Amino acid sequence: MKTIKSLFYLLPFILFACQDDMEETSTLELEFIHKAGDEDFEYGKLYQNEAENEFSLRLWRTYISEIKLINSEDEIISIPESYHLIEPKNGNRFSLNLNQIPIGNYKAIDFYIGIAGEENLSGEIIGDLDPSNNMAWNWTTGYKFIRMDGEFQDAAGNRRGVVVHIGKEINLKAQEFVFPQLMNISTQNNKISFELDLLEAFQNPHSIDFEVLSDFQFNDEADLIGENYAEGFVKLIE
Amino acid sequence: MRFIYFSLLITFISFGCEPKEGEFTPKNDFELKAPPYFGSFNERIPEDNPTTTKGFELGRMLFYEKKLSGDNRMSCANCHQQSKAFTDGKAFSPGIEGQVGQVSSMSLVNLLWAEHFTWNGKMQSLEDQSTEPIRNPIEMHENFDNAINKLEEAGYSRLFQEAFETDQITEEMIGKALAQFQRALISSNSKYDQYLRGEYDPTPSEKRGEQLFFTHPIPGQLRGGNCGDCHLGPLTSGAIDEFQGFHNNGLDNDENMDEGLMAVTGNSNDKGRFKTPSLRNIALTAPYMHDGRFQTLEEVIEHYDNGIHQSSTLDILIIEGSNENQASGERPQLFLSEQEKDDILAFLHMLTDEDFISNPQFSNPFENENN
Repeated sequence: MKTIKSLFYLLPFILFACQDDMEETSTLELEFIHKAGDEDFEYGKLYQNEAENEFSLRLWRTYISEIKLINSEDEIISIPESYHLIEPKNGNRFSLNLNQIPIGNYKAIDFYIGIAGEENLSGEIIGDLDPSNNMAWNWTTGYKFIRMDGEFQDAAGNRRGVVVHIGKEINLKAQEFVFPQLMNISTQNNKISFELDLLEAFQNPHSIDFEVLSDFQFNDEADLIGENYAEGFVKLIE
Repeated sequence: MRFIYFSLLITFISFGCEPKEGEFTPKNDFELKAPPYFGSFNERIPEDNPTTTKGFELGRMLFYEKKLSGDNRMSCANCHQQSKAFTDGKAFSPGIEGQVGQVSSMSLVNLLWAEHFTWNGKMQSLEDQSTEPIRNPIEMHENFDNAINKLEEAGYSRLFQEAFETDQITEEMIGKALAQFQRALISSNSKYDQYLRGEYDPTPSEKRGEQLFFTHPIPGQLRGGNCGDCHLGPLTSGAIDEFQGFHNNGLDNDENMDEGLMAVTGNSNDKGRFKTPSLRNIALTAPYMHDGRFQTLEEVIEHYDNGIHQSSTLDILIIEGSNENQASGERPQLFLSEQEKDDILAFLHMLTDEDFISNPQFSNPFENENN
């Protein structure tokens, strides 16, 4: 019993100590590469969706949250306060570091697209949740999970908006990625890469024709985009 | 005993992570207070210019200091008057030689949550922005050698010593002190704030106005005023990152529109894009728009409802924002009812913060001396 109590006192030491002192944990980099089909994504560049509308984006942001790693013993390592806003920053890439990941072998990584539960409405500044970051709707409706602002030229030759501001609980989509072989997290150079495919937001299962629908914000049509990004929008690069 | 053990551990840990001795860390002793719904701000304060009490007080004096102008008759406060939420009530403000510029003086409020200052975004930091009008020939028109001499003669060296640990007054230090003062100009006690904190019960019209303000309309499903797409969240100001907060809001067509952001980026897609200002205290900051073309908020609402001019750079969130189904290429209109316009107006009036415009901390220190 005494030993357990002593360990308890040591806990703050382990949690707050400088990283240099750590031996048993490491840093894991998650990299997100923004794509449009096979092409590297760029702002302002024209892409074609499945319905053959040519469109471009000026903003593309994606929230992910509640990152969990599952190790070879089936233990779940939950990353606290893991709310991350992903956007193409260095070219089409975005990297974030998860610190204090126990060294060992892992078989899967899970997270949500979107922000789960109470934190979405809390107004607290946790992780990348920040009411001033252009992702909050307003005080009572929480954050946009995915935001795309863009435009396309319609059949009549006019500029029209492609506006994708998706939130709401129903569009919170769990993602699970099982590594093809066990991933070893060692003392350094740990990295998992994902692709985000813009075109997948507008296809599978719902092929979106912007001539018919191009405004997805808190309306019923927004849920179609949610169903599209539920699967295949984020891919693990193996 | 256990407690001692614990405390020792904490001490040990704390020392292990402290910066090494000899590194200069300016004293950060001024408390900037803002509600959590404004978002985080500590990381937005430049590391080399933290807000200190002495720096803020010096900045306040410099803000009201007429010696910074060529004829000793004008200070920052001429165009940025506290009673008007730090604007001057004019479309264009005359400088010391009576010349006017081409844009209206902007309200100074909640600047911690802003980057890329002035209407066209040409100033990267508040420090840079703060010294520009002093030098500008159509504003205060003074050179810094003269200004610094006058400040030294007036005994400012001691104040710079206290604020920055150097009695060498420089343009950089003047900019830093002015920036510290302006970062502290936080307005967060409007009726809207009181409502957000649960201290005020809004009228039905104010409540409807808030909903309309923040709602992007979807014909047949959601009625909206489409304001919150650009005037974001409780700050009601533009997006902070890069130039996302710069929009062409349909003031003019391609032929006669002002350059806007294009003057800074050189990109023709940025023509007619201007900084989306905070709407805090908007009822006090007439006239409106970068060129002060609208005298009243009613005119502004009318513009967005039924006055949009189409152009090649008109913001897509305006094109794609109507309460009715519009045909492709049709001039965007909101189709708000008179009641809805009144409701939005009621919400805009909720943004007035009487405490902000009467806060003695922000007022002219030279007038207070004589009181």
